[in-house]
Amino acid sequence: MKHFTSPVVGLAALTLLGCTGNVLGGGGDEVGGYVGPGSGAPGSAGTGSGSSAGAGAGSGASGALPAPSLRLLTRTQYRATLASLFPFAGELELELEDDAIFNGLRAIGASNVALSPKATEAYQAAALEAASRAFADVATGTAFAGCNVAEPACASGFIADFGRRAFRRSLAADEQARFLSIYQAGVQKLGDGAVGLKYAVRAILGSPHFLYRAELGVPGAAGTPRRLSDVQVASKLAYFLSNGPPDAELLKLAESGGLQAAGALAAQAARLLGASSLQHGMESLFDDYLDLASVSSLEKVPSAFPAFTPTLALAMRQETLLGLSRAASSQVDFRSVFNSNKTFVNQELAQLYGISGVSGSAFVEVELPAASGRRGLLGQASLLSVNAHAAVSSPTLRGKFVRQVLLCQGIPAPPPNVDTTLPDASEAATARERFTVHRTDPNCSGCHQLMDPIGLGLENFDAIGQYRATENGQTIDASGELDGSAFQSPAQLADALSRHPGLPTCLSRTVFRYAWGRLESPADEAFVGALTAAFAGDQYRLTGLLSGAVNAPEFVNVGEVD
Amino acid sequence: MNRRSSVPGRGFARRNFLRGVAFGVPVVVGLPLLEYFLNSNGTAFADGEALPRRFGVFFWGNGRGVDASRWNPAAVGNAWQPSPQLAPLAPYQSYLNVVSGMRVQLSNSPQGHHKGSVGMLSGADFITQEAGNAPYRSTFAGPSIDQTIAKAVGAQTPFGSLEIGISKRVIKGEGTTIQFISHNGPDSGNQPEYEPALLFDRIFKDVAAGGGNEPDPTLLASARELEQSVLDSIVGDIGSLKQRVGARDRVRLDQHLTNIREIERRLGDGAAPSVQCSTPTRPDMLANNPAGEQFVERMAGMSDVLALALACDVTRVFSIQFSGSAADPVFHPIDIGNGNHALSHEGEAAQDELDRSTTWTMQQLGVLLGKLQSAVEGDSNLLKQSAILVTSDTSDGAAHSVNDHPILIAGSGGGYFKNPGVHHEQEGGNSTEVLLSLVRALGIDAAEFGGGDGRVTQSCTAIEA
Repeated sequence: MKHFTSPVVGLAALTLLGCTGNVLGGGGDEVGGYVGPGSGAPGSAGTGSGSSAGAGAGSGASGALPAPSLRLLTRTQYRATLASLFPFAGELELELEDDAIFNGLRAIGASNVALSPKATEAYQAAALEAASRAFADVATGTAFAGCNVAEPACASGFIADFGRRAFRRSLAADEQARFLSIYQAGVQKLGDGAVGLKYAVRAILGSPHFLYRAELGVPGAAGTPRRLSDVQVASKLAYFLSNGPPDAELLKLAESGGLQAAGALAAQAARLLGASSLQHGMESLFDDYLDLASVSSLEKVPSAFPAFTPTLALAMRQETLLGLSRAASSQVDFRSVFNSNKTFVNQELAQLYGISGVSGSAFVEVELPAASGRRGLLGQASLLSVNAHAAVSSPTLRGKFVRQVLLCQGIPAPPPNVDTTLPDASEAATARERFTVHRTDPNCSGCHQLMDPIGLGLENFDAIGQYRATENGQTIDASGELDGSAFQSPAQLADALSRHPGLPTCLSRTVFRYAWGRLESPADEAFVGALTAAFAGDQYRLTGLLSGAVNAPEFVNVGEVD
Repeated sequence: MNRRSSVPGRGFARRNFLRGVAFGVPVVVGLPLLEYFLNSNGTAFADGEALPRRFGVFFWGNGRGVDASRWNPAAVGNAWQPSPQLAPLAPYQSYLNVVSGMRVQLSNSPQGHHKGSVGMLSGADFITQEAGNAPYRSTFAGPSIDQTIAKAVGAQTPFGSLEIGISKRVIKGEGTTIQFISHNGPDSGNQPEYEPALLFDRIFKDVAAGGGNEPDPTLLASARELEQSVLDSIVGDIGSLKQRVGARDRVRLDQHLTNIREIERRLGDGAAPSVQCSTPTRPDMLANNPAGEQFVERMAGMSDVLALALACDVTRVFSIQFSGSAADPVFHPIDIGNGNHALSHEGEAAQDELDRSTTWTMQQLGVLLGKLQSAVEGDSNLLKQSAILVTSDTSDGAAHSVNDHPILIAGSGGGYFKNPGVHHEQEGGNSTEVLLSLVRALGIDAAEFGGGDGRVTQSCTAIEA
């Protein structure tokens, strides 16, 4: 581990070095080993064949692609899809359930989670809210439908158009007939066309064809892999890059067969990468990647951190989103976000960072004070706060975040029946002193050596990311080492991280997981490796990585349905 | 919280419901079990059916603390007195059975927090899942005990079960095992409701609003038919989609279908007689508490709504996740300034805070028990009719131990459990024995419970009446 040669070797070494051996005992193989989601008998996970992040890279594709999964719309995708159907959707008060987060991503949770009764009720209630408003009475319904809802031809045309946009594909004849019959029953029994369409629309919005993305593929031509249909490609592309349904142009192109023309998919990707909707796509990607939304549900001890207000929490997330989105759209080397000396702040956040001259709630770009050592993503209050406790900072959580989220390296949980207690502040003033046992006790050191030295480099920032030079009267020593790069300050840690070869590899893995809605299987490794190489060859522009993911045959390939 | 109301004097069978209009159609909600439904002794319904039993779970995270004697009563058998941590429950002592010494015996489920959670809530090993970058990930292999029971008794009530959360600070990155306590099956956790007013709305809003004016029965019948056609359409779409998906998605869609069927079950019969239940009162939305999470306010509000829901026989199964496994709620009402999980690893100096946390958690449970005890039902009360599994994910969170696990049954299960309750000590016993007792208490004729090393064929007879 002294000299970090490649991510694969580094991770293999990590596994061998005993972050499993002396620590985990029998349960040690759960770090890696590709196991199909949800599969496996109790306790059988992990084949010992290496971590999913390491296995197979460079050795060509191995095995078949995993079976495709239904992808439940995430909360933000549901809202965006509803908004594409109802102009007033943003005003509806919806009580949707939280997204499930699997493997660190909502995108993966959505491919795996089964709906609860309460979640299903929430969708029914949302459908009722939207439909009741659109078809409140005949006049309102007629205005919404754009034709006289008393006329069956109007209803039929409306159902075909609305259903197509809701399902992201044209309705099948039996679906069209069924929704129309609901409309007719409404007219017959309750006497007006608006009521009829209200019920028909509720049937559409409650349908699994609306709630899930059924990107399940169709059999390929003889000898070719199963692949997504054109409308499924359009859906995958649109939700990937805009976090919403395909727009009119994309859906029309897909349904006309035009998406199969050479360069057509790439052209659509390029169009969406330049569209204003990219903002939604990027926010969703970064929110998922870094779990930024959790900043607002954090709890910090009020007496110790009076500055931590709900508005500050929102500003923290906004800072990170603005910086990352700007880096993506301005086509800079994306690694620069990890050691940039500039960021976006509003007044409240500027005060937290000790920056003067910023007023109001609008965000402006500022240069970070050099003395604090605050640099890049790891210096942002959002991530510093999320990866900390309510009362104190946590070098372990921060180091774990770098390993897991930024470098895609698994860290096992603490083993059972090991005393995990640390000395308190009365015995040791600084976190570095308190955490000594993590480095000296062999039960702990195997794993904590991988985390604590990184997190200790961020000890100049407290549990909400405020700079501090001392802790309990002792000067903070922020020196450490990241996989062979020694650092003396958070600024130097930021530089070391931005140069780390595992960083772009992990970014391309994360983009793959986000877009595909699953972890990479061994059969995907060659592709993920190629994505990473292309990312490097393209000066690490994020938009290049995103279009590279789309402009590959792998984007449309899926495994067989089991 | 027992609700009394005047009801027209004849013709009501066992299943009388508060009726209202939801989604423009009639819905039904059970009425409180009024005296005149019961036989002259108040021990059963007039038709001889016994008073219903209810099942609940009250779960908190990170165990009781290092010192077992703070939780376990000193004396065993009938002569026990509440330990320091159980002292807040002293008013309900006759309704409590304490089981100590047992352990979660799932040798194939590593990881303390996950093991204790799945063991105490299902008695069977979890499924280890591909963790990605996370330290660990697992999910339940089958339903949690509340859903096992809901499957058996839930169809008799409008809601199969209700899930309630008190602390929102739960661990979301390690799979469903430690995120949710209630599971339908793998990767199918039931998210709890955190807002008493929203739980109330889910159950009562439409019936509360619908009281008074009797809608036109013909219109109601038509609305009901249309509602049914919407649900039929959704069911049809689930069925056609199911034919195109893989094995795992078929399970997911089956759950979706089950959920639609439960909604369908609540559609009332438009021709049913209308009765006037005393209109339940909606609690206010919880105010933001600048000091932190609204534990006390939420527990009080939820206890009110839940007691009402049980009294009205809206459901017979509930679960309360007071705090999450391995989670970091900050118990500010008792002047604790750090997260509970963090404290559990802070050593000797934090033991007093952990001890106070557990004691206070039991005090919060006492709020619910008090509501249930004061809700009279025939010659019984809701606490007597309930069996509530009170437990945690670990015994000693510092060591992630699942030995000498904290297990308490609150409520007498309608006479199934000893009253006055006992303290039963069974060193090294299999904790699933208690789960088998609980499912049997709810009338399920089970020969065994649990799986793997957790499986038992013997229940915990020492606490059974």
